Amino acid sequence: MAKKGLKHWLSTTNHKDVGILYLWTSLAFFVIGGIMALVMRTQLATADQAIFGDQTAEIYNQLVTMHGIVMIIFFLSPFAFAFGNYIVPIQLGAADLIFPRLNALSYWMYLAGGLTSLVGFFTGGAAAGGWTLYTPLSLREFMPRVGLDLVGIGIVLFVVGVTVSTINFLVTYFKLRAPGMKLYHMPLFSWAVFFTVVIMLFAFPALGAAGLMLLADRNLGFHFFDVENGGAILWAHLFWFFGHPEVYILLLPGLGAVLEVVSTFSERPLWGKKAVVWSLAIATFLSFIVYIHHMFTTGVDPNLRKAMTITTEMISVPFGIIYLCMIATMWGGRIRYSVPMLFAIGFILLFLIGGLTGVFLSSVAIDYGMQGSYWVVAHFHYAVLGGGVWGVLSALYFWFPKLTGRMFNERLGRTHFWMGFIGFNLLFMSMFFYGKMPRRIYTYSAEADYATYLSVSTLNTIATVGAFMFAAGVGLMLVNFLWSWKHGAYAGHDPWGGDSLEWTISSPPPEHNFTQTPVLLPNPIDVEKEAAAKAAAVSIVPGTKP
Amino acid sequence: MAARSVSGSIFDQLFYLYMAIAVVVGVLVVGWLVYIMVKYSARPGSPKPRDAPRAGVLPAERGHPLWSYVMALVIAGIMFGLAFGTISAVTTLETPPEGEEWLHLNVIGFQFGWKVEYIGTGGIVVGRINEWTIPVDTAIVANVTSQDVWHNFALNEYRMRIDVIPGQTNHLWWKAQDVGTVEPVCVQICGVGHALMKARMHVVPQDEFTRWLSDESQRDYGRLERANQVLNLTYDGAGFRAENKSIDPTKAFAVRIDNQGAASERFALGQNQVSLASGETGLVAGAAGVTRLEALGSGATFELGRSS
Repeated sequence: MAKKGLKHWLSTTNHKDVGILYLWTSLAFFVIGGIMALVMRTQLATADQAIFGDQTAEIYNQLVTMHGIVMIIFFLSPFAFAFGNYIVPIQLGAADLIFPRLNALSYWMYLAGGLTSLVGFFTGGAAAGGWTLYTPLSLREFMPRVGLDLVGIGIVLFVVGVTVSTINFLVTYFKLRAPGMKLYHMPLFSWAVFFTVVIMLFAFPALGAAGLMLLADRNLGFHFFDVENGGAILWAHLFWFFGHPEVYILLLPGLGAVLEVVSTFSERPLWGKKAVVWSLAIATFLSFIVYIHHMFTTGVDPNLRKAMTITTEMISVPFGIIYLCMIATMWGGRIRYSVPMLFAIGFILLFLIGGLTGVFLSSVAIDYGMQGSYWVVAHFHYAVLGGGVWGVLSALYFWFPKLTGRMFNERLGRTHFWMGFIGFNLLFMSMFFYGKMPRRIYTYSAEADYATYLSVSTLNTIATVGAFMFAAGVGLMLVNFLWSWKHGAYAGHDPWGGDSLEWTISSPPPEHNFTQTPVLLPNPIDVEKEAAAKAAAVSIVPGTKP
Repeated sequence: MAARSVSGSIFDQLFYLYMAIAVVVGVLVVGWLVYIMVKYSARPGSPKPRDAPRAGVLPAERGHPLWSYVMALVIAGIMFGLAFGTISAVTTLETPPEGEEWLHLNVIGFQFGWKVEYIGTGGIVVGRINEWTIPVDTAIVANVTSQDVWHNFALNEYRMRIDVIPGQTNHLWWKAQDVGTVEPVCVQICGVGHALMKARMHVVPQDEFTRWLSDESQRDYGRLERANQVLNLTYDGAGFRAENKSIDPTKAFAVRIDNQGAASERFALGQNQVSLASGETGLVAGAAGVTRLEALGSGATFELGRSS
């Protein structure tokens, strides 16, 4: 990679460079959010601890809140969009996104939003009260601190950036595909990002509106969330109308990447592409009509609870089909277990647990017994960290050679996988076993009747050990990438044997991606089949046109 | 310590049904995955598949859509089955049993604790904070609300919980089937004291509960008396006569009625009512905002604020 100065990075509008900015920024937020998690796990390692003395409860509440906001809003989506930026235009055969300056604007708003949110820690207390920011706890009356206003401002900045970006991506998808490339021809990662931006377009405005209303209530004396007007439940509706689709925003890019990785490393085309694309479309639609399952215990209309139990359980249909197709893709292949494929397999196993445990929580009756417990924490992390993040980690190893032109160290990559996989399961599997423990509590009593098989304290210790193991794996990954970026072996165009357009150009790609108009060749097998079908049609009814 | 409950057993049944299906599905998927991973693992000399991806070439079409339809139907069938199980269970969880005597409670969440109110003997409101008693084998029907921020009243042992939302009253019912002590907790982050927002709920036999409530009512009555918040009235069959000075009806208070009428009579202070036979004495608890005491039989009334 040619040396690029600070001025270049501050002013670039090239989608690849913006992608790199997204990558490093989001990884920085990952480290920050991860450190918060480690501090929390240290505090919870054994019963009845208070590592910050009198301040423990207050600091823990800030950490639990900011960990959620940083990871969900400022890490995972932007991490996926590092590849959305870098890879999607190339996969479409475009020189850039259609509005490169808007793309840069989105990035800078993201960075501004993320930093604004974090500044709260230096203003006498960051937001506390959960990433869900439920009112009235987050109103001025109960939480006057400026840290919460900063989170509100950060979120609104981010939402503006995201909304600009969704338009940018959608127009790019429709206007800049290579000649002859139909929508259906798009590789699965591009398809997944397509559905992600569609969800973003409809989900994020609810959060943006809620954020602005909260800021107005807190600072301008508005009354949107006044308790007397039913404001407590209004916030929950607005928040979860965004909050549930957000989970799919977090998941889909990783899922799309894993589908490509599985196909590439099995050396077989995706099984049932049409079914997968339709399943993604159906999941996109369903994601908007299930959010009441976050509010089963709020006393909303009982019929709505039942209806959304059914819609939530129906989400298993598209994801079940995607799983079927993903595993069937490997059938008859020649599977190479390189690091990206290991992470893809990890994704399949972890997200399977996340998905199956999600079915439990979709049941309003079971939710009455589990809501707000560690069982939910475990499920959520299997789905979002085991699914979303694990998928994008696979993508990161998969496209690292394309981004840098270098190979990473395979051995370090494998070590990262095993440390991550074992650490992850120690961390979150044990949470299922102390699933009765309420979440977001800074301490617990050793006698509490929260656990099965082992004591709640032992299980928490295991979880903490797992957390540090997982974190060490991430550290290895960063070392690996920083080292390999300079010193790795040269990768060449297509180190893995992928088929989409990014593998036809040099690594890293040239400034404007393609030196001539890219053309996707039809697959010879399909051409042959069509020809054979034509020939058969002619021979069956002689003398007629096929 | 066993802590059985109606909701707990419904939860367990449903949980194990979901678990059984999850385990079967999980084992099938993982088994199939591992089989394929082993069987089709790349080995030296294994041939490159004919339709292997090639850079810049569209992937070949693969797979028959029929399998997807079959899969969709199978999953949808399982899911409808589970949803049906849930919906039939949830009706029981949400509706207190008909034809039984219920015990009504108010549960009020606050930063950081729980207040529970009973209608005690003679209508005295018995309020207890963070430690209270309920009878075993009795349906408890609770009106749940918050006086500040959002909480969640969770009966972990009974696998039941409800959001405690300011400005809104939610309803929760449960029935404990074992005596003992359980620990209601808050499972919605509500501020700095969230982790310690726990209570102790003693489940005791019915007769012990009756005794407890009557003792507590006496104690609370004594407290009101000491605060000069008990109004003593004599009822003569046609009207009331006050025996002491006025009380402040904006604070907690009670009315003690001596029925000197010839017949039994029912007295009402808003929702709080008591029936007294001739010659009997009893209590009615004060209700916020209600200042008119009424003898339902004769229609005689008494305005609390204006007594002297």
